[in-house]
Amino acid sequence: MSRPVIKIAKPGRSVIGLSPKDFALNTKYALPKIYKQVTVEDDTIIPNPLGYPHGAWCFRRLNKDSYYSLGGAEPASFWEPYVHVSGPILSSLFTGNEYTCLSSTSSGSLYAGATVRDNEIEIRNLEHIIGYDGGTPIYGKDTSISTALFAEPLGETDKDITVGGNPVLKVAPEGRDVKALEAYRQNLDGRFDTLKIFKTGELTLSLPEETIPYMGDCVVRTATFNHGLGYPPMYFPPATVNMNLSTWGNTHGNITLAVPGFGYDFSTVDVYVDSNNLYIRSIRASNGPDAFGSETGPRTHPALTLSLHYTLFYNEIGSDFDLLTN
Amino acid sequence: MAWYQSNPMTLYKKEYTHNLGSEPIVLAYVDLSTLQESGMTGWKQIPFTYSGEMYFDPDWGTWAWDVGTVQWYSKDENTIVFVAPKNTKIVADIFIDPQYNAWYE
Repeated sequence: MSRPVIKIAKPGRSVIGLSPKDFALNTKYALPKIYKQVTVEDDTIIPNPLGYPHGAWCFRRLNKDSYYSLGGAEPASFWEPYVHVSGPILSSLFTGNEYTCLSSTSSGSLYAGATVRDNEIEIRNLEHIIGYDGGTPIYGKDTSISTALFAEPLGETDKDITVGGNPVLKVAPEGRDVKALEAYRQNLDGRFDTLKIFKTGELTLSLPEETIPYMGDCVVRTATFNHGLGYPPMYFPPATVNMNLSTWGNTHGNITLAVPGFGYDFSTVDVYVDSNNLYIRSIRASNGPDAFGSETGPRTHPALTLSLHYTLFYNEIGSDFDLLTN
Repeated sequence: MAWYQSNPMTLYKKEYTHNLGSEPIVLAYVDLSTLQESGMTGWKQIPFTYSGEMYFDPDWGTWAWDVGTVQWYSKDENTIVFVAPKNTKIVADIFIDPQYNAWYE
Protein backbone atom coordinates (compact mmCIF):
# COMPACT_ATOMS: atom_id res chain seq x y z
CA MET A 1 0.00 0.00 0.00
CA SER A 2 1.36 3.39 -0.96
CA ARG A 3 1.05 6.22 1.49
CA PRO A 4 1.78 9.92 1.60
CA VAL A 5 4.87 11.02 3.46
CA ILE A 6 5.92 14.56 4.30
CA LYS A 7 9.66 15.14 4.15
CA ILE A 8 11.54 18.36 4.76
CA ALA A 9 15.31 18.23 4.39
CA LYS A 10 17.86 20.24 6.30
CA PRO A 11 18.85 23.49 4.57
CA GLY A 12 20.81 23.07 1.37
CA ARG A 13 20.09 19.37 0.92
CA SER A 14 17.66 17.29 -1.08
CA VAL A 15 15.27 14.86 0.57
CA ILE A 16 16.50 12.22 -1.86
CA GLY A 17 18.95 9.88 -0.20
CA LEU A 18 19.15 11.88 3.01
CA SER A 19 19.94 10.14 6.29
CA PRO A 20 16.91 9.94 8.64
CA LYS A 21 18.65 12.06 11.26
CA ASP A 22 19.14 14.90 8.80
CA PHE A 23 15.51 15.67 8.12
CA ALA A 24 13.76 18.64 9.68
CA LEU A 25 10.59 16.59 9.31
CA ASN A 26 10.00 13.05 8.08
CA THR A 27 6.61 11.57 8.80
CA LYS A 28 7.85 8.08 8.07
CA TYR A 29 8.73 8.26 11.76
CA ALA A 30 6.33 9.06 14.59
CA LEU A 31 6.52 12.45 16.24
CA PRO A 32 5.94 12.52 20.00
CA LYS A 33 2.54 13.98 20.84
CA ILE A 34 2.21 16.26 23.84
CA TYR A 35 -1.45 16.64 24.77
CA LYS A 36 -1.04 18.70 27.90
CA GLN A 37 1.39 20.71 29.98
CA VAL A 38 0.52 21.40 33.56
CA THR A 39 2.26 23.29 36.36
CA VAL A 40 1.43 22.68 40.02
CA GLU A 41 2.71 24.20 43.23
CA ASP A 42 1.40 21.55 45.62
CA ASP A 43 0.88 17.81 45.51
CA THR A 44 -1.86 17.28 42.94
CA ILE A 45 -3.77 14.37 41.50
CA ILE A 46 -5.46 15.02 38.16
CA PRO A 47 -7.62 12.57 36.23
CA ASN A 48 -5.88 10.78 33.40
CA PRO A 49 -8.17 11.55 30.46
CA LEU A 50 -6.50 8.95 28.26
CA GLY A 51 -7.23 5.98 30.51
CA TYR A 52 -3.84 4.36 30.02
CA PRO A 53 -0.28 4.94 31.27
CA HIS A 54 1.76 7.30 29.15
CA GLY A 55 4.93 9.32 29.31
CA ALA A 56 5.40 12.34 31.57
CA TRP A 57 8.44 14.61 31.67
CA CYS A 58 8.84 16.86 34.72
CA PHE A 59 10.89 19.95 35.47
CA ARG A 60 11.39 21.62 38.84
CA ARG A 61 11.30 25.37 39.36
CA LEU A 62 13.96 25.87 42.00
CA ASN A 63 14.27 28.39 44.82
CA LYS A 64 16.37 28.93 47.93
CA ASP A 65 14.31 26.32 49.81
CA SER A 66 14.54 23.57 47.19
CA TYR A 67 15.83 20.22 48.36
CA TYR A 68 19.60 20.09 48.06
CA SER A 69 21.65 17.51 49.93
CA LEU A 70 24.76 19.01 51.50
CA GLY A 71 25.92 15.79 53.10
CA GLY A 72 28.40 13.33 51.71
CA ALA A 73 28.65 9.60 51.87
CA GLU A 74 29.46 7.99 55.20
CA PRO A 75 33.28 7.91 55.58
CA ALA A 76 34.85 4.53 55.04
CA SER A 77 36.57 4.58 58.43
CA PHE A 78 36.68 6.54 61.70
CA TRP A 79 39.77 8.39 60.48
CA GLU A 80 38.39 9.57 57.16
CA PRO A 81 37.03 13.13 56.93
CA TYR A 82 33.41 14.07 56.75
CA VAL A 83 32.35 16.45 53.95
CA HIS A 84 32.53 20.09 54.99
CA VAL A 85 30.26 22.48 53.09
CA SER A 86 30.38 26.22 53.77
CA GLY A 87 30.64 29.57 52.01
CA PRO A 88 28.51 32.15 50.22
CA ILE A 89 27.13 29.59 47.77
CA LEU A 90 24.94 28.11 50.50
CA SER A 91 22.78 31.24 50.59
CA SER A 92 22.65 31.68 46.82
CA LEU A 93 22.21 28.22 45.35
CA PHE A 94 19.05 29.27 43.47
CA THR A 95 17.22 32.58 43.11
CA GLY A 96 13.82 31.28 42.05
CA ASN A 97 14.22 31.54 38.29
CA GLU A 98 16.09 28.29 37.64
CA TYR A 99 14.61 25.08 36.28
CA THR A 100 16.00 21.56 36.20
CA CYS A 101 14.94 18.14 35.12
CA LEU A 102 13.10 16.36 37.91
CA SER A 103 14.91 13.25 38.96
CA SER A 104 13.23 11.38 41.75
CA THR A 105 16.62 11.07 43.33
CA SER A 106 17.64 14.71 43.18
CA SER A 107 14.41 15.76 44.83
CA GLY A 108 14.99 13.35 47.69
CA SER A 109 12.23 10.82 47.15
CA LEU A 110 10.86 8.36 44.65
CA TYR A 111 7.43 9.85 45.33
CA ALA A 112 8.40 13.21 43.81
CA GLY A 113 7.39 14.20 40.29
CA ALA A 114 4.78 12.59 38.07
CA THR A 115 3.49 9.05 38.43
CA VAL A 116 1.07 8.05 35.69
CA ARG A 117 -1.60 5.41 36.28
CA ASP A 118 -4.58 4.28 34.20
CA ASN A 119 -6.99 6.77 35.68
CA GLU A 120 -4.90 9.39 37.40
CA ILE A 121 -1.69 11.39 37.22
CA GLU A 122 -0.10 12.10 40.55
CA ILE A 123 2.28 15.07 40.59
CA ARG A 124 4.09 15.65 43.85
CA ASN A 125 6.16 18.63 44.94
CA LEU A 126 7.45 17.24 48.17
CA GLU A 127 8.12 19.31 51.24
CA HIS A 128 11.22 18.79 53.29
CA ILE A 129 12.42 20.25 56.58
CA ILE A 130 14.65 23.30 56.11
CA GLY A 131 14.90 24.35 59.75
CA TYR A 132 13.14 24.65 63.05
CA ASP A 133 11.31 27.44 64.83
CA GLY A 134 11.85 26.27 68.38
CA GLY A 135 10.71 22.70 68.16
CA THR A 136 8.46 23.28 65.18
CA PRO A 137 9.81 22.19 61.81
CA ILE A 138 9.84 24.66 58.93
CA TYR A 139 9.20 23.17 55.52
CA GLY A 140 10.47 24.15 52.09
CA LYS A 141 9.84 22.90 48.57
CA ASP A 142 10.30 23.79 44.92
CA THR A 143 8.29 26.74 43.59
CA SER A 144 6.46 24.45 41.18
CA ILE A 145 6.62 21.28 39.10
CA SER A 146 5.90 21.55 35.37
CA THR A 147 4.99 18.39 33.48
CA ALA A 148 4.62 17.61 29.80
CA LEU A 149 2.20 14.73 29.18
CA PHE A 150 2.55 12.54 26.09
CA ALA A 151 -0.29 10.76 24.30
CA GLU A 152 1.62 7.61 23.34
CA PRO A 153 0.76 4.63 25.56
CA LEU A 154 3.49 2.78 27.47
CA GLY A 155 2.20 -0.56 26.29
CA GLU A 156 -0.76 -2.00 24.46
CA THR A 157 -4.17 -0.43 24.86
CA ASP A 158 -7.47 -0.62 23.03
CA LYS A 159 -8.60 2.76 24.33
CA ASP A 160 -9.37 5.62 21.99
CA ILE A 161 -9.10 9.28 22.83
CA THR A 162 -11.17 12.25 21.83
CA VAL A 163 -9.32 15.22 20.46
CA GLY A 164 -11.00 18.33 19.17
CA GLY A 165 -9.83 20.74 16.53
CA ASN A 166 -10.20 21.05 12.78
CA PRO A 167 -8.74 21.16 10.24
CA VAL A 168 -6.08 18.62 11.10
CA LEU A 169 -3.08 17.22 9.29
CA LYS A 170 -2.57 13.49 9.87
CA VAL A 171 -0.10 10.94 8.55
CA ALA A 172 -0.54 7.28 9.49
CA PRO A 173 2.17 4.60 9.61
CA GLU A 174 2.61 2.51 6.49
CA GLY A 175 -0.28 0.18 5.80
CA ARG A 176 -2.67 1.80 8.25
CA ASP A 177 -5.90 3.65 7.51
CA VAL A 178 -5.45 7.22 8.62
CA LYS A 179 -9.17 7.69 9.14
CA ALA A 180 -9.65 4.65 11.35
CA LEU A 181 -6.48 4.94 13.39
CA GLU A 182 -6.43 6.22 16.95
CA ALA A 183 -4.78 9.61 17.39
CA TYR A 184 -1.87 8.24 19.42
CA ARG A 185 -1.01 5.74 16.67
CA GLN A 186 -0.64 8.38 13.95
CA ASN A 187 2.88 9.28 12.94
CA LEU A 188 1.77 12.90 12.71
CA ASP A 189 -1.35 14.49 14.13
CA GLY A 190 -1.44 18.26 13.98
CA ARG A 191 -3.78 18.58 16.93
CA PHE A 192 -0.96 17.79 19.35
CA ASP A 193 2.16 19.67 20.33
CA THR A 194 5.51 17.95 19.88
CA LEU A 195 9.13 18.35 20.90
CA LYS A 196 10.78 20.99 18.71
CA ILE A 197 14.56 21.04 18.73
CA PHE A 198 16.11 24.50 18.95
CA LYS A 199 19.77 23.64 19.28
CA THR A 200 22.17 20.91 20.17
CA GLY A 201 25.73 21.41 21.27
CA GLU A 202 28.43 20.75 23.79
CA LEU A 203 28.95 22.70 27.00
CA THR A 204 32.26 22.17 28.73
CA LEU A 205 33.38 23.04 32.24
CA SER A 206 37.10 22.74 32.96
CA LEU A 207 38.08 22.26 36.58
CA PRO A 208 41.72 22.72 37.61
CA GLU A 209 43.55 20.73 40.23
CA GLU A 210 43.06 22.68 43.43
CA THR A 211 43.46 22.31 47.15
CA ILE A 212 40.86 23.66 49.55
CA PRO A 213 42.05 24.32 53.12
CA TYR A 214 40.70 22.23 55.95
CA MET A 215 37.14 23.45 56.69
CA GLY A 216 37.49 25.99 53.87
CA ASP A 217 34.62 27.40 51.84
CA CYS A 218 33.35 25.60 48.76
CA VAL A 219 34.86 26.49 45.39
CA VAL A 220 32.23 27.15 42.74
CA ARG A 221 32.78 27.15 38.97
CA THR A 222 30.16 27.57 36.25
CA ALA A 223 29.99 27.25 32.47
CA THR A 224 27.06 28.70 30.55
CA PHE A 225 25.55 28.59 27.10
CA ASN A 226 23.49 31.65 26.21
CA HIS A 227 20.40 30.30 24.45
CA GLY A 228 18.69 33.69 24.46
CA LEU A 229 15.17 32.31 24.12
CA GLY A 230 13.78 34.61 26.80
CA TYR A 231 12.08 31.73 28.58
CA PRO A 232 13.25 28.49 30.22
CA PRO A 233 13.39 25.72 27.60
CA MET A 234 13.03 21.98 28.10
CA TYR A 235 16.35 20.25 27.65
CA PHE A 236 17.99 16.85 27.35
CA PRO A 237 19.76 14.81 28.77
CA PRO A 238 17.92 14.39 32.09
CA ALA A 239 20.74 15.97 34.05
CA THR A 240 19.66 17.68 37.24
CA VAL A 241 21.06 19.50 40.25
CA ASN A 242 22.99 18.11 43.17
CA MET A 243 24.42 15.21 41.21
CA ASN A 244 27.20 13.19 42.68
CA LEU A 245 30.18 13.94 40.46
CA SER A 246 31.20 10.30 40.24
CA THR A 247 27.95 9.61 38.39
CA TRP A 248 28.61 12.15 35.64
CA GLY A 249 29.14 9.31 33.21
CA ASN A 250 31.20 9.39 30.09
CA THR A 251 32.63 12.42 28.36
CA HIS A 252 29.49 12.86 26.28
CA GLY A 253 27.61 14.05 29.31
CA ASN A 254 25.58 10.89 29.03
CA ILE A 255 23.95 11.25 32.40
CA THR A 256 23.31 7.76 33.57
CA LEU A 257 22.41 8.26 37.18
CA ALA A 258 21.60 11.03 39.60
CA VAL A 259 22.83 10.15 43.06
CA PRO A 260 22.25 13.12 45.36
CA GLY A 261 24.79 14.92 47.42
CA PHE A 262 28.52 15.32 47.45
CA GLY A 263 29.26 11.61 47.60
CA TYR A 264 32.69 10.16 48.10
CA ASP A 265 34.44 12.72 45.92
CA PHE A 266 33.34 15.79 47.92
CA SER A 267 31.87 17.40 44.80
CA THR A 268 28.46 18.02 43.36
CA VAL A 269 27.35 19.15 39.91
CA ASP A 270 24.28 21.12 38.87
CA VAL A 271 22.71 21.32 35.41
CA TYR A 272 19.85 23.78 35.00
CA VAL A 273 18.37 26.46 32.75
CA ASP A 274 16.85 29.89 33.12
CA SER A 275 15.41 32.32 30.58
CA ASN A 276 18.83 33.15 29.18
CA ASN A 277 21.28 30.34 29.76
CA LEU A 278 22.01 26.67 30.19
CA TYR A 279 24.37 26.05 33.11
CA ILE A 280 26.82 23.46 34.39
CA ARG A 281 27.96 24.33 37.90
CA SER A 282 30.53 22.51 39.98
CA ILE A 283 30.68 22.90 43.76
CA ARG A 284 33.72 21.43 45.45
CA ALA A 285 33.78 20.93 49.21
CA SER A 286 36.54 20.56 51.74
CA ASN A 287 37.45 18.12 54.45
CA GLY A 288 35.74 18.27 57.78
CA PRO A 289 36.87 16.52 60.93
CA ASP A 290 36.92 12.75 61.33
CA ALA A 291 34.56 10.72 63.50
CA PHE A 292 36.58 11.67 66.61
CA GLY A 293 36.32 15.38 65.83
CA SER A 294 40.00 15.60 64.94
CA GLU A 295 41.38 17.82 62.18
CA THR A 296 42.02 15.92 58.97
CA GLY A 297 43.78 18.46 56.73
CA PRO A 298 43.16 20.12 53.35
CA ARG A 299 41.50 18.41 50.42
CA THR A 300 42.96 18.29 46.90
CA HIS A 301 40.61 17.92 43.96
CA PRO A 302 41.95 16.63 40.65
CA ALA A 303 41.85 18.47 37.32
CA LEU A 304 38.71 17.46 35.48
CA THR A 305 36.67 18.41 32.43
CA LEU A 306 32.91 18.04 32.42
CA SER A 307 31.29 17.91 29.01
CA LEU A 308 27.56 18.04 28.40
CA HIS A 309 26.13 17.23 25.00
CA TYR A 310 22.82 19.00 25.24
CA THR A 311 19.64 19.38 23.26
CA LEU A 312 17.57 22.49 23.89
CA PHE A 313 13.96 22.44 22.75
CA TYR A 314 11.77 25.36 21.78
CA ASN A 315 9.22 23.93 24.23
CA GLU A 316 8.85 26.23 27.21
CA ILE A 317 8.86 24.87 30.73
CA GLY A 318 5.75 26.08 32.55
CA SER A 319 3.78 27.11 29.47
CA ASP A 320 0.57 25.26 30.26
CA PHE A 321 -2.06 24.08 27.79
CA ASP A 322 -4.58 21.29 27.32
CA LEU A 323 -5.11 20.24 23.72
CA LEU A 324 -7.85 17.74 24.59
CA THR A 325 -10.17 20.46 25.80
CA ASN A 326 -9.03 23.59 23.97
CA MET B 1 30.54 2.66 62.34
CA ALA B 2 27.46 4.01 60.61
CA TRP B 3 24.10 4.15 62.31
CA TYR B 4 22.53 3.17 59.01
CA GLN B 5 23.86 1.19 56.13
CA SER B 6 22.71 0.99 52.55
CA ASN B 7 23.09 -2.18 50.55
CA PRO B 8 23.03 -1.99 46.76
CA MET B 9 20.48 -4.27 45.12
CA THR B 10 21.69 -6.67 42.49
CA LEU B 11 21.28 -4.99 39.13
CA TYR B 12 20.89 -6.52 35.70
CA LYS B 13 21.75 -5.11 32.30
CA LYS B 14 19.94 -5.50 29.02
CA GLU B 15 21.30 -4.14 25.77
CA TYR B 16 19.22 -2.79 22.91
CA THR B 17 20.85 -2.39 19.53
CA HIS B 18 19.33 0.43 17.48
CA ASN B 19 22.08 0.81 14.85
CA LEU B 20 21.39 4.52 14.40
CA GLY B 21 25.08 5.33 14.30
CA SER B 22 24.71 8.08 16.89
CA GLU B 23 23.71 8.36 20.54
CA PRO B 24 20.00 9.18 20.42
CA ILE B 25 17.68 11.14 22.66
CA VAL B 26 15.89 8.65 24.90
CA LEU B 27 12.85 9.10 27.13
CA ALA B 28 12.37 6.00 29.26
CA TYR B 29 9.87 4.98 31.92
CA VAL B 30 9.58 2.22 34.49
CA ASP B 31 6.51 0.30 35.67
CA LEU B 32 6.83 0.83 39.42
CA SER B 33 4.71 -2.21 40.22
CA THR B 34 7.53 -4.35 38.81
CA LEU B 35 10.28 -2.49 40.64
CA GLN B 36 11.75 -4.42 43.52
CA GLU B 37 10.90 -2.87 46.92
CA SER B 38 9.45 0.32 45.46
CA GLY B 39 6.05 -0.28 47.06
CA MET B 40 4.42 1.86 44.38
CA THR B 41 2.26 1.55 41.29
CA GLY B 42 2.21 3.60 38.11
CA TRP B 43 4.85 4.71 35.66
CA LYS B 44 7.73 7.10 36.29
CA GLN B 45 10.54 8.48 34.17
CA ILE B 46 14.06 7.14 34.69
CA PRO B 47 16.93 7.42 35.59
CA PHE B 48 16.82 7.41 39.37
CA THR B 49 18.02 5.64 42.47
CA TYR B 50 15.67 4.71 45.26
CA SER B 51 15.60 3.18 48.71
CA GLY B 52 13.59 0.15 49.69
CA GLU B 53 12.02 -0.18 53.12
CA MET B 54 14.32 -0.09 56.15
CA TYR B 55 15.02 -3.27 58.06
CA PHE B 56 17.11 -4.24 61.09
CA ASP B 57 20.31 -6.03 60.13
CA PRO B 58 21.18 -8.40 63.01
CA ASP B 59 24.69 -9.03 61.63
CA TRP B 60 25.59 -5.36 62.02
CA GLY B 61 23.15 -4.46 64.76
CA THR B 62 22.05 -1.46 62.74
CA TRP B 63 19.17 -0.37 60.56
CA ALA B 64 19.72 -0.79 56.87
CA TRP B 65 17.98 -0.41 53.57
CA ASP B 66 18.47 -1.67 50.06
CA VAL B 67 19.25 0.88 47.38
CA GLY B 68 18.13 0.24 43.83
CA THR B 69 18.90 1.92 40.55
CA VAL B 70 17.03 2.19 37.27
CA GLN B 71 18.89 3.84 34.45
CA TRP B 72 19.90 3.73 30.82
CA TYR B 73 22.99 4.82 28.99
CA SER B 74 24.43 4.74 25.50
CA LYS B 75 27.17 2.12 25.45
CA ASP B 76 28.22 3.25 21.99
CA GLU B 77 26.66 4.86 18.94
CA ASN B 78 24.54 1.80 18.22
CA THR B 79 23.65 0.38 21.61
CA ILE B 80 21.64 1.46 24.64
CA VAL B 81 22.03 -0.37 27.94
CA PHE B 82 19.20 -0.52 30.45
CA VAL B 83 20.09 -1.25 34.08
CA ALA B 84 17.59 -2.26 36.78
CA PRO B 85 16.79 -4.82 39.46
CA LYS B 86 15.51 -8.18 38.24
CA ASN B 87 12.13 -8.33 36.48
CA THR B 88 11.76 -4.57 36.12
CA LYS B 89 9.65 -3.47 33.16
CA ILE B 90 10.98 -0.49 31.21
CA VAL B 91 9.53 1.19 28.12
CA ALA B 92 11.68 3.61 26.14
CA ASP B 93 11.07 6.06 23.33
CA ILE B 94 14.20 6.25 21.20
CA PHE B 95 14.46 9.23 18.90
CA ILE B 96 16.28 9.42 15.60
CA ASP B 97 17.63 12.81 16.63
CA PRO B 98 21.23 12.51 17.84
CA GLN B 99 22.22 13.78 21.25
CA TYR B 100 25.06 15.70 19.64
CA ASN B 101 26.60 16.47 16.23
CA ALA B 102 23.15 17.14 14.81
CA TRP B 103 22.83 19.21 11.66
CA TYR B 104 21.22 22.13 13.47
CA GLU B 105 24.16 22.72 15.82
